Formats: sequence, structure tokens, C-alpha cells
Amino acid sequence: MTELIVDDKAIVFIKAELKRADSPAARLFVTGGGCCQHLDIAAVEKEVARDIKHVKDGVTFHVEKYLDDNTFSLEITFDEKREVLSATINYKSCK
Amino acid sequence: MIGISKLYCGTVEPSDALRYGRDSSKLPSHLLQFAKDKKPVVVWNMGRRCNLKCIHCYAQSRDIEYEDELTTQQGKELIDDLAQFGSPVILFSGGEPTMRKDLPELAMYARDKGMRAVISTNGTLIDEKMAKVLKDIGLSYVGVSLDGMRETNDKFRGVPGAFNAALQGMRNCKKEGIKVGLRFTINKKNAQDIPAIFDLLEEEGIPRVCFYHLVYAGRGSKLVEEDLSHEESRRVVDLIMDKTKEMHNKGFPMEVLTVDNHCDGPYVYFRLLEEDPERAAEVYELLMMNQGNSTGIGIGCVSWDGSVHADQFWRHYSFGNVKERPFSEIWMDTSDELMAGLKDRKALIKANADRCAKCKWLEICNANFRVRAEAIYDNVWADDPACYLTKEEIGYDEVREE
Repeated sequence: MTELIVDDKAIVFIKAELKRADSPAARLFVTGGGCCQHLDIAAVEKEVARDIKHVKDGVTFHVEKYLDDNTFSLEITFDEKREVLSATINYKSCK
Repeated sequence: MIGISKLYCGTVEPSDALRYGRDSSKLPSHLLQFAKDKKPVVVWNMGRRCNLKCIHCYAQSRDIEYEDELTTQQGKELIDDLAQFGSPVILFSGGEPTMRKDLPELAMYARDKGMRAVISTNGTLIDEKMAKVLKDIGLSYVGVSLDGMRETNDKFRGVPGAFNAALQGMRNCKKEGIKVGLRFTINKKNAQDIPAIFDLLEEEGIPRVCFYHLVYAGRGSKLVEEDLSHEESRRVVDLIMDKTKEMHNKGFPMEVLTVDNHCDGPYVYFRLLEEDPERAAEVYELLMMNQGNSTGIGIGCVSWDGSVHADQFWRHYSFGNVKERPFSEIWMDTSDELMAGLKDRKALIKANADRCAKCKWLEICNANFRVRAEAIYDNVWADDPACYLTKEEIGYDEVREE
């Protein structure tokens, strides 16, 4: 992945979540599969199996390797109306 | 849900890219939720009517008009509530969801509200016109059920020609560039067809399949008689791993998942311990990230009449009805003992179960399917009878510090 984009409000939200969970980092990964496949985030102590590390505005993100390998960028924004994080994945095209 | 291809072969199919290419503006966004805020994927059995007569149908659907189904307006109110609540995915199911004329309107409405909309269908009614409609809706995924090759499937489905029609439905979806996958429920009468199913997927260029273990629900369910023995289940999971690897090595990496039996995770781990210990250690970490069975937590169900269930197999127990209270309110109401227990079940398992109480994989499987325990032992918190791991594999006799 060439770029992890996280907007300012999302950074504030994630920092607060990590502080509450007393965790040093967030992990981004694909969960479920088939019809239920979606992106997930978790507060973690450390990376898991071949994760790729990104640091954004003081927050450490461990991105699942296969997600990282197959994306150009991942953009995380904060939806103020619903007070939730939202992510858009810009995948590399699949050969 | 256990990602066999992800765990065993170390591959993740970048599936959305098949459909959207590099145009990220067309990509549906994902909600990102930390554990404490996590909201369920919701299966909405939007209509009970179905054109097939499957012998194992949990909805016992027929091709007739049913009364008391949620109206289009009530469906939109449900979607409004789910979107506001933060449910990441809505799965339109049935009966046969394409028999509801307002499916496109409701699916598009869900998508416009920021949810990922997917459908589970028998595929037989997806002609070219319907495939175009599904494409225009912007569905994230269409899962088509086939429970065997032609003869086996049509016997299960109760309608001759169902196999051919479902296959044509998948081809029509593929032609429109819709992400499509196959769903296969494993039982005694169709397990022998699994190798041929892999061949079919390769021939058709469909790189995605979910194998469902059988879930028998309700006291006195006869469905258990159709389930595999533990030894047969182990052989089938081995076969699925073998075929997944074979496809991977042939240059046709598929997304292969098994669903509804979380002991598949440790079973994959045991096999990797013998074949590739380094990868096994990674898989152990990945399994620890998986929160196991999420009935009543990460997955929920709304029936055609608006009843809310812990998942689609708990149809015999309703927590309330969305016609009277919003789903979000019903889902968070832990005054119901079953809802409270499913959300925080470990103490109940320790107090009621035998193998599950002593199992070292409890954190990974979250005690598997409670509805199967109820069906066989008349105790929701007893052992899941479908767990095929041996006493040695679950560390039954190991002494552990609590």
C-alpha cells in the first residue's frame, strides 16, 4: 500500500479508543468472507503474522499483509453524524 | 467462519477489485468499529416465498403468498435503524429474495444509507435482466446456493432443472461483473460431490465458495440425522484443504471458507503444525484475533414478519419484533436471558458444558453453535455436538490455571 490516509477527526477518535483500551496500536484487517466480508479494526498490543506497519500522526497501524499488498491506498474518515469510522479501500486491479 | 484459503494457503482474494477495478469512487465504504462498538451483520429474511422446495429449508418456504411480511415502508424503517445503529452489512435472504419485487428498491436504499448490501439467493431466477438490475443496485455480493452437482442438487431442491438454472444465474451475474460466490451446505448425501464442485468452480471461473456445516435447530430436530459423523467431518475438511491447495498451486487461487463450525480453525492449525510449523504459529495468532461464534453478537436476523432472532437458526426464539421496537433497541436489551447469555457466554459454558468447559480453544471458537447444543441436549449452554476435535486436541485432561 502506498498510502494510508486518516483524517484528523478519525485520528482523534482512534487515539481515544487506543487510550481507553490501553493499547499501543490499531490493526486493520479483512474479516468474514463471502457475503459477510468487511474491513475491521482492533486495538492490539503488537502486530500479527506479517502485518505491515504504518505510522500516521503518532498512531501506529498494523495492516494485514494481504490487504496492504492489494491496495493502493486506504482512507479512513470520521462520520460525524453517526460518530463512526468509515473506510474506503482503493484496491489494485486484479490480474 | 474460517478462511481456509487465508489460513491454509496464506492468500486473500482482493475480491472487490474484480468488480470495481481502480475506480475507488464506486467502492462501497466499510464501517470500522472497535470491539466495544461492534454492531451485527444482519440477515433479513425479507420474504418467505420461494420457487424451490428444498428439503432442508430452515424457513420451510413454499411458492405461495405469505401474510404479515414487512412492507416496503417497514423495510425502509428497518434499514434506517440498522444504518443509524452501525450494522456494517445487510444480507437480503428469504425464502427467495428475488421474488420480492421491492428487492432492488430496498437494496439500493440500504446502499444509499452507507451499508454494504448483499443477497443470498438460489440463483434460479437471475436471468440477464435481473442480473442487470442487481448490477445497477450496486450489490456488493451475490451468494448462490448449490448443494451438490446436478442430480444431488435437484433432489435437495425438489425441482428438476434447479442446478442448470442456478448455474445460469451465476453466469449472468458474472457477465455483469457482479462478485458472485457459491454456498454449499455439507451433509451425508452431498459430501461426495465436493471435488466436482471445485472442478465446476474452476471451469466457470468462480473463485469463491463457502462450505456450510449443518446446523440443526430446535428440540427434537431430525436434521441431525443428515449430519456427518465426526470422522467424516474431519475427512471433508481435509478434502477442502487439499482441493484449496490444489487450486492455489494450479494458479486459480480461490477464496474458500467453511462456516458454522469453529473447530475447523484449530483443525487447520493442527494440520499446519505437521506441514509448516512456522505458518502454524502465524495461523495461531490469526485465530486468536478471530472471536469465534458471534451469534447474538456479530450476526443477527430479522424474519419476514419482523421477528428478531439471534441468527437465522434461532427462528424458534424471538427477542421481539421490529414492528413494535427498533432492531437496535431489541438487540441491546440484555434483560432477555438468552440475549445476555449469548453476548457473554463463557461463565454459562463453564457451568453447564463438559468438553467445551474444559477446551483450550474456547477463546477461539466462543463455544461454537449454541443452537446445536439446545437441539441435542435441550441445554443451550451444553457442548456443541458437532465439534469433532478429540479430547486430546482440546486439552480435555490438561490442568490449566484459571
